[in-house]
Amino acid sequence: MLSHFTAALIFAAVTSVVFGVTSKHTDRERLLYGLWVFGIFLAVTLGAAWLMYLLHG
Amino acid sequence: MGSKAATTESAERVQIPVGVIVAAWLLPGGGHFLQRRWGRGSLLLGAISLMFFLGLALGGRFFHITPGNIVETLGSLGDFCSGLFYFGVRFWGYEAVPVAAPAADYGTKFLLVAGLLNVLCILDAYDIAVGNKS
Repeated sequence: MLSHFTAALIFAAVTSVVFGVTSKHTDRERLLYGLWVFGIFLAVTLGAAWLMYLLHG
Repeated sequence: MGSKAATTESAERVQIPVGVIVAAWLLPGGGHFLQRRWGRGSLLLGAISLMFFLGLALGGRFFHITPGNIVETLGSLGDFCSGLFYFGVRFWGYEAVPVAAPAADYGTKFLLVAGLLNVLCILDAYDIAVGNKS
């Protein structure tokens, strides 16, 4: 059974790959942008999870 | 006056790369393959396939065109953008049983987002074809 967090990680990874490949002009820029987007997805997911935990207990 | 004429002339010269757009829609990364961008095409094909088939494995459902329900109708448009994956799966009779399970809900979103990500691939393939990108 896929947990919510695992699903979010897979979603972030796939989306980051597509964003990276389609957004920039050089391979280095694509790699860095993909990693950046993945990091942002991860940070927002964890931040939102903590926020909900603190709000709802 | 001269620059306006030049702009009109250059706009007339731009050919819409229909073959690339159709290939990119039918197969994620197909537009890139057609333009010999093998590495990028493979990455796009792998990533979008993973999302689409994981969506199926989780029991996600496709949206249907429903008059009066804009969310459902727009969702069906997003699903439609997955190209051959969508048509193939519908042709083979896939229809998810509606269940109130989180995994099936993730699956539905994965199927939808696979189609939406393919729209980005189509736009990127178009940009390459008209020379906006390498």
